[in-house]
Amino acid sequence: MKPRAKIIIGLLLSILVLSLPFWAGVYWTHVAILSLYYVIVVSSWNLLVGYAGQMSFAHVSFSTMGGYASTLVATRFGIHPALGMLIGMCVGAIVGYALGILCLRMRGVYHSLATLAFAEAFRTVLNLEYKITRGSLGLLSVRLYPGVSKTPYYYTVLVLAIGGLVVLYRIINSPIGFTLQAIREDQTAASVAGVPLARYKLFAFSLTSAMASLAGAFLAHYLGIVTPDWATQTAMSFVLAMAIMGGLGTFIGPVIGAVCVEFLAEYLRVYGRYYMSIFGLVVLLMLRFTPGGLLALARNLTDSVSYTRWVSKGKQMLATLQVRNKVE
Amino acid sequence: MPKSLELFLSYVINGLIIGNIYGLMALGLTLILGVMKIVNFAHGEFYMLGGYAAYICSIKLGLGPVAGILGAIVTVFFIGLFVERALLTPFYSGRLERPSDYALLMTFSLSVFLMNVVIPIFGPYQKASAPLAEGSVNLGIVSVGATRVIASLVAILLMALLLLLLSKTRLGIALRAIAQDRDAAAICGIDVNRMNPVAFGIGTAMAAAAGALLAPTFLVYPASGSLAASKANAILVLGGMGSIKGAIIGALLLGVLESLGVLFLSPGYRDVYGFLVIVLVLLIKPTGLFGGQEF
Repeated sequence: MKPRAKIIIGLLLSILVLSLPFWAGVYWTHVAILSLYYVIVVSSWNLLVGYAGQMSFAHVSFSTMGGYASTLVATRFGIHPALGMLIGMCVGAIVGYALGILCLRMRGVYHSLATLAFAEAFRTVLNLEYKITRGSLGLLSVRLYPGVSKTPYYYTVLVLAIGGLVVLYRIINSPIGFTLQAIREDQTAASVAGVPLARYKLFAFSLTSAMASLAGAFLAHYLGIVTPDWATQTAMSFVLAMAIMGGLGTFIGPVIGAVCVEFLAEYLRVYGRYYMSIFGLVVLLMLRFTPGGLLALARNLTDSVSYTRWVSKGKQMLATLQVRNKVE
Repeated sequence: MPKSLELFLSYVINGLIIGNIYGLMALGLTLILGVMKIVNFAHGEFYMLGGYAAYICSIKLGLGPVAGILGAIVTVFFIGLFVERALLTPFYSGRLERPSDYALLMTFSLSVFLMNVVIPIFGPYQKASAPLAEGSVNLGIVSVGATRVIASLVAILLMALLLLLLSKTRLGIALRAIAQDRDAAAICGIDVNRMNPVAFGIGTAMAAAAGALLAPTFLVYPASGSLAASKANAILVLGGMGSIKGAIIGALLLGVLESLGVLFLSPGYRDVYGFLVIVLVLLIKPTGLFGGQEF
């Protein structure tokens, strides 16, 4: 794509995104807020899993934790929700750090098992401690802004999402990002090359947990309620579907995936009680047929269509053959 | 015998009885892990499917409890076979960079799909399959529901059958060879790729058997699998991944620990003890009780 075309498309897209609450209507603004929430959660999960290779099934537990922590301090101590969100973020970072320490000693499947066990245990605790959390009824929260308008919420979550993406982008394209990828590719090799594994893994864990918690705290103050249902495996499968649909281990993939899947989910809602099974089926088929996500699919298509690339490939092969013939 | 000791022993016996059924779950999970090198996150859902299969065979078709259990094992074996062939085998064809990560994600998504797909089919309410026996059995100190005792005995029988299969038959030896070294097994002429579905089928059938055995007492509902799965996962960590001996002993241990946790700590938190076990094992002995031992 030409640079000028890129700039024009970028401009149009940002105008579209910035003006969304004014033309989209209440319902679609609500969907947009949810998808921006998912952009934060999925992109941070992508840093942990797609870049650092630390498989985790506890990510939605952290967003739920942020929601509960923020709501509890806001309702019990009358702290302003904005400050509550910061506190929720800190709680998420600390617990994420602790879970990271626990997971340091394990690799591969053990690691994912421990995170799954943590998620299940966390949800059970939320359900059982009804004196604090009101159990499965959910905890009523304070709304961030007075009034019913969704516009301020939209801009708040937009700022959070863009801020989060900038942070993630800077990290991914910095030496830290490359080190995390080295750990993903080969832990032992990275360690031999002098990478302090523990420090990097804990950094990834606490940063991504903090981001998820902040997003969760925002959502709690937007919806006005936080329930243990946020931390179910079904909720986690949403995050997973979004990351995979976009393309795990790419920066822009999960962002596209989050928006696409959230809108897809809204359209599937008309199927009522079949909704979640259809959604599950879509995820299964997607994983089965395009495990690299939409980005990889697009790349494959352009690869097979692009004539010039085939020609250059053919030329390369010819050249190597000729060299080989000469040597022999 | 003092009253408190009696109480203690009765909880231990209850734990052992339930532990045998956990063992059935964990053994299936261990077999899949050993051969395919992935943790089957949908294991609990195959347990749930087993419960539903038993419900259909024994109540809807009226064939009785034994047919229910056999029906569950056979049906879920074939479902497992199909699922592995259709969804997991393709990852190992060499196109993907980290196939086992994607296989993990696949079993996780499969678990969510199965959990949700049974809601419109069977409804959200709890179902019970036909009980294996009426009344209760007096075990000296404690009297336990007869269904549970028989379920526990059947579980022991099935575990023994699986161990026999693994140690005596050609198929079992092939499976163990793959678990030890996939490439070496392939060089010796074992068709490795055809063994994956077999291992997955047998493993899920074990989960189904556990589900069918517990369906009369613990009931079956769409989310019933996730609890059972979290226990099987805890056993896997406790016993040391991939060790068969570890899976059985770990299962009995977890059954007893849970039971004692209910007695001494709090009954509500029964299902969190599994996570506590994982945490403790990781802190004290990360390889598990029998980690690193032969499959």
